[in-house]
Amino acid sequence: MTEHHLQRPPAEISHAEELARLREHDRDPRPPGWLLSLNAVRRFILGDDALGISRKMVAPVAAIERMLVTLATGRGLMLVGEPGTAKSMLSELLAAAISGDSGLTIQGGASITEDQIKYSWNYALLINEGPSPRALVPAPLYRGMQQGKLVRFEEMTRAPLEVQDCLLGMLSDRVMTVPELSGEHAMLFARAGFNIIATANTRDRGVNEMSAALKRRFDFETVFPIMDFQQELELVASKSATLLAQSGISERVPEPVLELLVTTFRDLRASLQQGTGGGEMDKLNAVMSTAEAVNVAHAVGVRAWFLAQRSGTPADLVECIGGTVVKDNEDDRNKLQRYFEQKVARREGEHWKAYYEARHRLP
Amino acid sequence: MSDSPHTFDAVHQSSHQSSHQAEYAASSTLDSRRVEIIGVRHHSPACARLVAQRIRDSRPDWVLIEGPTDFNPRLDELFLPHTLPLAIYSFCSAGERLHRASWSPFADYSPEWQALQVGRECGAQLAFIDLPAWHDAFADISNRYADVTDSEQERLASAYEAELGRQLGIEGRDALWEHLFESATLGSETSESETLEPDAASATASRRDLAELSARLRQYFINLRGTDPGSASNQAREQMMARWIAWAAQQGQQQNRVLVVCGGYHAPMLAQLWPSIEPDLRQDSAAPATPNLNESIAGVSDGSIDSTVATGSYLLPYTGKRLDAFHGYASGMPSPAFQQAVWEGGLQQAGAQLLQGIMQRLRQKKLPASTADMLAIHVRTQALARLRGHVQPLRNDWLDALAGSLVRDALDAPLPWTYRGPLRRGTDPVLVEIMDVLAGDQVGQLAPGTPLPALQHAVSRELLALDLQPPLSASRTITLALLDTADRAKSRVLHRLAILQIPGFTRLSGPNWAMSGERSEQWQLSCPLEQQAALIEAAIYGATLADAAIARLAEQLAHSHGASALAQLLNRAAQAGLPAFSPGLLSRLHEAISSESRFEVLGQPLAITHGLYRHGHELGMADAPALLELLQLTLDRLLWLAEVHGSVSAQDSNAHLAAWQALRLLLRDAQASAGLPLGELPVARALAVCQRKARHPQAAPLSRGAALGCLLSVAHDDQQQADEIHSAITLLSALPAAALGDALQGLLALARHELIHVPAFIATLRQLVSALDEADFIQALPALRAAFAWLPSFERGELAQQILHLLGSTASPRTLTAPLSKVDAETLARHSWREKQAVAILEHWGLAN
Repeated sequence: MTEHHLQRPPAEISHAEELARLREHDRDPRPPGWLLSLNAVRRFILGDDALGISRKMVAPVAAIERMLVTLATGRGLMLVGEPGTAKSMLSELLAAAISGDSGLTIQGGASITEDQIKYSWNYALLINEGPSPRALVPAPLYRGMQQGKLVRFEEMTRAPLEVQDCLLGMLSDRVMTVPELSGEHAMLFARAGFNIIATANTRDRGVNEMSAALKRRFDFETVFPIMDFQQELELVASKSATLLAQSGISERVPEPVLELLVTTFRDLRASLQQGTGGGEMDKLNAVMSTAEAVNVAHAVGVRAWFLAQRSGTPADLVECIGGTVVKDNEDDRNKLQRYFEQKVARREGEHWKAYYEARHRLP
Repeated sequence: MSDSPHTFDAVHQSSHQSSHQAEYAASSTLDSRRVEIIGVRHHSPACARLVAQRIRDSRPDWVLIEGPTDFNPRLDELFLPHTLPLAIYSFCSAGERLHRASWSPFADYSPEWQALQVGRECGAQLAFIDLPAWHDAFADISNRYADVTDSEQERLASAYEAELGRQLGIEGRDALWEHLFESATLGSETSESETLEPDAASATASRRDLAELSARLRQYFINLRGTDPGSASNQAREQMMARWIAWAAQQGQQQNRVLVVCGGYHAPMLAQLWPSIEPDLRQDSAAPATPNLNESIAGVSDGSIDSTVATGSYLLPYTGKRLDAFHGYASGMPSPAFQQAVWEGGLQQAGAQLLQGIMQRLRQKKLPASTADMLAIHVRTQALARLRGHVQPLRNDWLDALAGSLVRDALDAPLPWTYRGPLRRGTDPVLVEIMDVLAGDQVGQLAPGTPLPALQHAVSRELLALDLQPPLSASRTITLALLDTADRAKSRVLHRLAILQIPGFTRLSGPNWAMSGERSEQWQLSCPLEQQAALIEAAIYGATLADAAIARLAEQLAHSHGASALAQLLNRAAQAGLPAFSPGLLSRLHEAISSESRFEVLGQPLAITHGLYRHGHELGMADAPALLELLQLTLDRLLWLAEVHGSVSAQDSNAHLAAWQALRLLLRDAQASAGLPLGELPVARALAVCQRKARHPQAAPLSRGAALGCLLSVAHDDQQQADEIHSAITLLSALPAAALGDALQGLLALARHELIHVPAFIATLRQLVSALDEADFIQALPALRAAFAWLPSFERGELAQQILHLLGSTASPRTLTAPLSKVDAETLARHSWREKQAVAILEHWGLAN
């Protein structure tokens, strides 16, 4: 498997070199079953200039340290936060660095069943031979326990409650029973290094609220949107440039337009960022994540280039932002209009004026 | 963790390495045997330990401490058997124009406190060497021992800390500080129990640690300060301190050994400054002169200094909560209870104590905290400490572990220890409790015999001067005409007493708002037994009535949240004539208003601010730019919230209309003051908001009516007014019966005067009401009644006249406005039912028309 043939290579392949370098220089003690020490994993995620390791996440150091300690002390790690705060990316990076494999992933959803998590059977063999280890088809959790690796459970709260609860035994006793088999195969004891990283959306709060018993077995870590304006702006600029290049467009979205975009997103994201002046705003139903901002920036670039062969303007931004923010929610439409009438109108600068003038393009 | 990034070397490698450092080193080698300057962080247990140890080791002749020089003659008061924390409260007030007050708080673990105690124990001469609190340099400083006192210092400190943090991989001022300085392996054995024959080896080890700590602190502060001269006020303070050092070093023409304890920010500059102080000053036998009080405040108080200047310093009890960094911006080390425990028993014991306290608290409050959690917290703390390279877990390690193990949900606000200032809204309840346990509930207590401020005398003098003494036996009632200057002064004094909750001064009637139209006030004066006791207790707030009332309001300010409560405080301050109180309040109001989420709440702040801005002449508040700014902010927020289209609940409807009325008043005023600052308020934008609100189909009928009424009421030409009346008619006709009354209520509350004389409007109204069928009418009735309640009885009479005119009747309007006959409701209902039956029978036989 080489990088060239893959649309999106997993973290352990795209960062293989860095991981190898870290392993080489890693002198610190490693928790049992880990490929790297805690310190090395921290450097892998937050970057280290001395070793030439790039920074892969904008996140508080203390938060990353808490996550590593949770995983090293054998408790499940639950990453919660607004959609688009890079929870999944974080869990992928952690799994790649700690176990060298980010592929043991369970995608939570309404249709997921227990056998997609634990194991199922090869029915031809099952009928032919009866239950045997050969007929057993392991699912990610089984493989993670068997090989001592991290298992990722994405969007955990989307999975039905009974499916969530089948994790209880595995998390506390670290053993999976396979009642169909007998002898040594009836019990699968987890090897050192096995653990679970789950992610959940705060927007899904209350959809399938986790049971108290399951919550107790996880340590919660909230992933916040990027706090620093400049960092977010840089991230949006670089990511959107990459996306535009992939779409075959050499024209980047101009800096002032990106500033408008990021400021609008941060304003509408509301309550978390206090002290932006003029008071707090109401939270929108729509997701105002950095990832979404990158998509909008991409859309602005694509729109301007393919429709008129020019770079993006504030007017393009108004068109694209409308589609992202409003979706089908009448309330959000009102809030966005109010934002333009009352906040955008008062900002200084050419680009803000142009942005305000284009407000009739809002849906 | 050999190659952990958390090594101290980064401090040395970091920025600002300059020639300055060399100068510092040179000056300190020259006099290093004689003058030792220890730059500390206020309220740091590690620094306190260092200071105590250095004084014991070097036995200096003088111990000089950053603190108010005017307290020097009374230093002995500090050595009475007090219970800490306590503070030196210094104040200066010159009438209404100038008021300054600042606190210098001490806890057991304050380096300054240890310097005092150990210095005296070792027989050194003690002195405070900083400027007094009334000096200009302290104009904006309320806490002498805050980490950061002005924006220049803040800029410098945060730049250095950010860079250092980046290199070490640590974020946050407190986390960085603890990692660098509080984590040294200093056991408690080096502090108090020196005399108990400590184990020689460990004593040597701990001395080595202290030497390392001392070197680190010095390097850290040299890098932080660089060659920055600092703000004007910091320069003035450093000049004063340097003069003292130079004087003490040469005093009596001897070569004295001097140890200086001061904020780390000042230390490098002092080391540079003092050797250059003029030699003739050094020969002086008297201590450096304190600047002259009158000169210093002459500029501020218009030169009209008279005998009313009151100044003084007193020891007052302080509380752990106030020491906490989470209490406000201007404070020192966070989590005083934790620091106290570290001071008393070392890091390990403090951690155990902390965990125990938190578990107890959480169980008390019925929050989840099981034995398994406790185990998990323990393991995580140790692991985090190891990962971060700490020998003993530090405060941040404990907190991070607690958050990870106890919080079982997504957070809505960042963890409290990752930012400065009060807890944010939406902080998890578990975290709120944890921070509260860490703040502790220590309350200081003064030793008996400590001189207290003479509030009692001041109050009785003021009462005598204004002829307000309460009679000893019975009570007397006085009426004050508020437009009269003398009476107004009396009213203020009484309001100040009321703020201090002194029994015996009760207001019987009077205006609710400081600037309302009511013109008289009634007070009952009596002299209950508790009065004197209350005055003694209130003495901790200050020495004069005005000071005490301000301090009391400031205390209330700390506990008040929400725009409405804060506006009430502003109102009380205005009633009591205390403009000096307002700056802190205004900034809090700013914050509260920006984060207010309900339209109704903002009406009162807007009305109070507007009133004070227009009419607060006597308070010196009229036309104040700060008030205008606040007014602007409130208007902005109000307009922003006006466009939330939700229903208005019945109990909110009065407040809702009051907010619209306040808005209307302000808009009218702004329209009329073209060319004045008030005229620059965004009237056009506000009117556009009203337009949109009045038209929006999703808006509550009450608000639509109110918005329209507001437009009508501020319309300045007839054409515009006619248009708005037309839209009012359209609005009422378009609404369903249930909403009719609400919209009408909004309209009449805001524009009854404009509407009640318009025949077309009255005709439509009559038509709409008479078109209602019985069920609809009953549904609309309560709101209609509420709407007509806005009309004074005279206008109700006029309305009745118009209705009768429309009906072609010549009866007196009294027939419509007279109260119903005194028949009870049941009888009325019975009769009405009979009437209905009769009509039904007539209809049945085809006799009804």
